[in-house]
Amino acid sequence: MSALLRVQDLKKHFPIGKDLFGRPTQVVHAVESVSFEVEKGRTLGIVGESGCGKSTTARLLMHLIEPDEGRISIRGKEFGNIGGRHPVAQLRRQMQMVFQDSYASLNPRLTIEDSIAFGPQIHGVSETLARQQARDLLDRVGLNPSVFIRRYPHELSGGQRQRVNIARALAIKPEIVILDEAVSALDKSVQAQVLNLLSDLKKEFELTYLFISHDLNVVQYISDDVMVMYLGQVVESGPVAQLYENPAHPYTRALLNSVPAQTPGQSKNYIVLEGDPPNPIAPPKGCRFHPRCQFAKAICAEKEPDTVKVSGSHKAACFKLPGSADHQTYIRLQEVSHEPRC
Amino acid sequence: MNPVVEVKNLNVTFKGEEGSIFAVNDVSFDLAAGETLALLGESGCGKSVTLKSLMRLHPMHKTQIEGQVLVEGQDVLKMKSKALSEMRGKTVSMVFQEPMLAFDPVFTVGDQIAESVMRHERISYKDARQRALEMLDRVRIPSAAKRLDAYPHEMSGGMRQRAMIALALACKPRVLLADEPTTALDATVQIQVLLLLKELQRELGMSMIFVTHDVGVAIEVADRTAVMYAGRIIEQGPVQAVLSKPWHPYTQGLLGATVHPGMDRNQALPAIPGAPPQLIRRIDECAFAPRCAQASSRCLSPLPSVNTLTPRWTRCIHADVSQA
Amino acid sequence: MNSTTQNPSAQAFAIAAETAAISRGYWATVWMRLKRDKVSVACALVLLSLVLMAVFAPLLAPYDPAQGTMLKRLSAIGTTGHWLGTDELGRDMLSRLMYGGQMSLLMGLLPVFIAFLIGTSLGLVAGFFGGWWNTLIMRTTDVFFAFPAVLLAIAISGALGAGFVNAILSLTLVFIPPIARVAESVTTSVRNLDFVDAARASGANSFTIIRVHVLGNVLGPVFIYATSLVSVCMILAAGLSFLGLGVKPPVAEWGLMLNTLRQSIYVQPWISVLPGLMIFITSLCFNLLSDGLRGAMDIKR
Repeated sequence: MSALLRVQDLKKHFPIGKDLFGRPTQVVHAVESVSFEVEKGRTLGIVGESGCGKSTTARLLMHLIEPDEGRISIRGKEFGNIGGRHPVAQLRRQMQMVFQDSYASLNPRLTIEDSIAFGPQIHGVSETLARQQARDLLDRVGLNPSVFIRRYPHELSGGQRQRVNIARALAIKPEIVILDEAVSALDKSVQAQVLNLLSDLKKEFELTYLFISHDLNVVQYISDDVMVMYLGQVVESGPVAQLYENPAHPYTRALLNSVPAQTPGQSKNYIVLEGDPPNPIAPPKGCRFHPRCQFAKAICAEKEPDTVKVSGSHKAACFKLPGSADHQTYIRLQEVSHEPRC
Repeated sequence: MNPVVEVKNLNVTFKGEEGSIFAVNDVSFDLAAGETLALLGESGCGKSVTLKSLMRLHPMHKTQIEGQVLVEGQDVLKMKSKALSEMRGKTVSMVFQEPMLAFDPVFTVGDQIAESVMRHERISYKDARQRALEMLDRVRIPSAAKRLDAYPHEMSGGMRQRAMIALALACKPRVLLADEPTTALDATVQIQVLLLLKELQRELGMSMIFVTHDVGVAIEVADRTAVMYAGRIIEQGPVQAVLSKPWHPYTQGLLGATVHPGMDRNQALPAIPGAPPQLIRRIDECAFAPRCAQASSRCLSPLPSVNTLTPRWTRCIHADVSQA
Repeated sequence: MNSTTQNPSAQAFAIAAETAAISRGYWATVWMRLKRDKVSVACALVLLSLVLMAVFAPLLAPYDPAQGTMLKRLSAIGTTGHWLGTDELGRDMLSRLMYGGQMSLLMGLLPVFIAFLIGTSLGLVAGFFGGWWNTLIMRTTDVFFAFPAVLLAIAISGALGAGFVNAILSLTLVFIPPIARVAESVTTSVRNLDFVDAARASGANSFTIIRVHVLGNVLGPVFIYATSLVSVCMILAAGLSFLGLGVKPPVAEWGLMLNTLRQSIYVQPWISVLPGLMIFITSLCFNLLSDGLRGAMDIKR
């Protein structure tokens, strides 16, 4: 099966600070050659800690931020603002996004109905029809239209607002929906309601999801495939069951292990990483994870590891993997003693 | 042994222009020396408000607090302001979710810790600096001597959180109040801080009240837990027992709705329908009844009082308390 | 609502709770909150009566404001026939204060209103498009900030020459930069909110986004700021007239009246204070109303 969405070598550097001549003094390496594919009807989970570039990736896909490099194609059609590519406006009809902050992502001066009906009207749907559709969608996301249609965002609870945001994204009839921490700010009981809704909608509208979250349990529950990001790079990706059961990259292992057990009585041996994720302004050379990695050797600080197959579609970027080109060199090297960095 | 903290029938009401908010209703619990209690609940359930009452941190003119909050036998709610500021930071200390708010951005971290020690223990600046250094070392901030002269904004999120813990523990308090201290942290940093807190608690023999919305975090740190809903404790007991065999339907629902590994992906999550009530009136009946599948007409009349001194109890009148 | 079972009574309860709160719109809520604020209501009533007094001055005023009798110069407050006394040319003070309101209110409101339109547009463009537009517009306004408002108004008025239209023009120019600056900073913060990104993601162009999503959120705060400027503008206008750069005698205007009555301060101190008192009351009311409006429009989630 060919991929519905294909992303190749997506890259974004943000210049920050300017010197006397307007040249940037520092560069944030936000997203560095990110590539992935999603098949129709599947959910790709993107996990990682703050500053790993997962949200930037989402905004790059929507062209809310202009990518420096990279190709984004849906069903083989390439989209972008460079000549020869299909216009971004068309991309936005096929891909929509739900943001984390349910309040900030709704215009406080517009009624719920106006917010949902706004998108379709932009795409030439008549006002009457757009409003009718808004009502149907509200009903579909579990909000009684007769009660909510004239309400303003501040009169709704967080869960209700996020339902409105989902309805707004679906109003354009997209094939792909990016959910950027869409349930992260919700309380657990409400989160479960919204997750159920997302599963139902996915079946009903044959949607494909990109589910971005820092909550590893939720990602495991909702995703078919998972992609782990660290400092702007993909360190590991693969089918959810394989990746969670048999994480190949040391970072993935530590990350998955750091989640406290949800059932009492199972005391856990944590793999505790030292320090915080480093600053993406000056990412470490070589493998970006090496300063926190317990398996790091000299080569890790010099060379960026290549992404290799673990099994099937499960891939990771680490010299420890037998498939890695420099695996033999890595094996022969002594482990370096570790000075905790921060 | 006498409990370090005893809270009896605590009521907190916020008076606003548009009516009152009954944030905490009739909350009672106690805390033994060296023990950790997790106040578990969702946003707006009153867990943070309860915690702040222990140090009387609410704005005075807008808040009405009733009941008793005894810390080492002394009622915090009746303390004069001098005794109160003596107690804050010395007997009882607090760590917050957002460490940037606990530190003054214009002073170095070392000076702020030293200042707190000097105020409470009347020792020289030099000795206080020495204590600050010890504390930074103790919370395992790398090259602590160098970090003594760092400003809060020069530290990373996890390190700031450690520094705040150092500040809170500098005067070796008897009780540490922790208000979601790891919620804003990344997963790999959260576990570092949780384990650190547990270890420091053991070393210093402190008691700890830990406010969290995360079941996993409660399991990791706490000995006992009190589950809160709509301003009341609805179930209390040893963490193991409460979270493996919950009695109250809300606790059951909360655990069921929390996504955990090994869930069947093809089945819908057992979500709790509806949303918590607004606390614009004092709710004496079961506040969870409108969302509860087991509710009966009895749940809608004021609930009988419960003996909160038993090791495990719940406010639910339908709970099967035989299975422990 | 979702797949879990729910008992019917609970459902009924939940629905009742949902319908209980009937939505009022945003402006209706602001209006309701403003009505509850006693100070704002009082100020609004005072301002309303001042405006009515000025508008209907020809009907209400007992005398012609320009007609005086030398015999009755500077009669004291409470003189029969002249309740508020007469000025240095024997003109009825009450009538002059009523007529003076026309000019003074106009000179307080009109420049701010024009500056509000122009300044908001400039600020919107600068804030929304950023980059070059921002540099061009905001650096130009910065030049104006180099001079104190009073000095600027006097300088422009002086260069253009005295007169009503020139005074309005100079005051407008004085108020465009601060309004543009406020509008720019509000626009910049609104532009960075997620709903603007969501609108872009819906395929809307910049013009539509500004019209539907940005304007409504920027107008409120800028409007509040502009109301607070009305009092400053009135005082500046009075100052211009006082210096002879605004309207010319014998037109009644509070600032000008203050000027001409200046010499009489030793003869009838209370009369010479009257125009100043009017300016004071009006500008205080505008300030307090602007404060109340700020409070009423600050609706939290």
